[in-house]
Amino acid sequence: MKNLVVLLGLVLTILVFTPKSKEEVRANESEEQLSSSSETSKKQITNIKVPDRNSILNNHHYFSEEYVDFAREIGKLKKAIINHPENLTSGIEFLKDCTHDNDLTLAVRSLCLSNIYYFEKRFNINISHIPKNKRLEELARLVSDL
Amino acid sequence: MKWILVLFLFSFKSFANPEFIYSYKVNKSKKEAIQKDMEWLKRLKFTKPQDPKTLMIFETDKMDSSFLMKWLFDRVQYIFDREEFSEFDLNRDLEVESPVFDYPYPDIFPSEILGNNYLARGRNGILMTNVGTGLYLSGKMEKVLLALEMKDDQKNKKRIILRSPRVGLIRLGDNFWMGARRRERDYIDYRILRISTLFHEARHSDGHGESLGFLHSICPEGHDFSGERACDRSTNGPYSVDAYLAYELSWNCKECDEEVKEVLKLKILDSLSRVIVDGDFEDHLLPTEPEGER
Repeated sequence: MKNLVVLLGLVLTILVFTPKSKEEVRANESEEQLSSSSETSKKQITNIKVPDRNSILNNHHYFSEEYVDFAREIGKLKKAIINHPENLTSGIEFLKDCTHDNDLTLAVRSLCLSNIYYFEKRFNINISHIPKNKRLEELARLVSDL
Repeated sequence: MKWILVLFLFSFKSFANPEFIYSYKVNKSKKEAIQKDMEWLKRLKFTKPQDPKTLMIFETDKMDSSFLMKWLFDRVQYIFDREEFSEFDLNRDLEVESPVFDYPYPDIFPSEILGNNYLARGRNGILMTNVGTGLYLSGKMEKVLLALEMKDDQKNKKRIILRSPRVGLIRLGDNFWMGARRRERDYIDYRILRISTLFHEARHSDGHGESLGFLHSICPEGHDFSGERACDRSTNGPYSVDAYLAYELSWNCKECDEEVKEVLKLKILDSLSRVIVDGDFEDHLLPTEPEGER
């Protein structure tokens, strides 16, 4: 029966980080700002909170709340650029920084790269200095048209 | 004649609308959320062709909601709440149904379980867990047939005999809501995240012998989660199942806006970044069997 006890905890789990007290940042305001004024949009783009690597690592078995928040911000950024193409430069700068940042997880970096691919196609432009990492590119390509 | 018709309609209804069996401890809001998730999935129209990899993973040539419902209900049947099993005592809470049992592949176990004490690992923030396969494996290791009793949501006692990993016992965790506030719980991104998690757990009911349970592997050096048991070494394991499912749901989801799509994309990327394989996708498909190990 000892084996039974040992086996009870079999790793068949998905873990999610226990949420901290949630700040009221999931922002309807920022969405409005992002899509209504290109000046504010620039500011908002640079203020996007990138998921903290350590907290993602502590939380390694499942998709964290920080990931959800970050991905929503990327969605807002996307809308901001589509609605105001003058935001493209600052948006792409942000996405490039994120793609290059080795301190971020592969998933986050590939989400940023997938959006660079998306905008290249949408605006028919060629964006230089994209990192050459096979896995990163593969993942980013997979979801860029989604 | 009238009764025959009623019986026929009743059985047709249960076939068409399979339901999980919930423990009486599962709270109402969680049960309703899962039921709504299933309703949403059932109504989803698959209008776009599926990715060939999705079809390979799910071993089908066409995916639609009825296929997915059947796939899921073949692997998940019972839902327990977080407090159940948290102080679970195998000696106290499990019974030996039979002292002998003819297990298939009797001496073959997944290499992931050998020499590891899984109880030593942290258990915070669980969204859901497939406990059925672990309990089945326990019986298999002891070479006895185990059983447990549950009370369903009508407080009727049910005896669950752990004859197969397909017995499908899911325990909801303390982080079932993933930090969503009450009003956000029905948001489509949380809904799809929950559904894909359920399918992830359902995959743990599969496999046989060495592949039994499609257990996770230790992530290699250089990986974001290096040293943690948070990766798969097959292309049809739980992370691939949840990623490709989220991909297809997102692809066919009409109410998903840009923000939701980015959440689902990151979910897909997070899961696929944990699939550690090199070379051809097909070379890393682990064998499954139509009925699981039995």
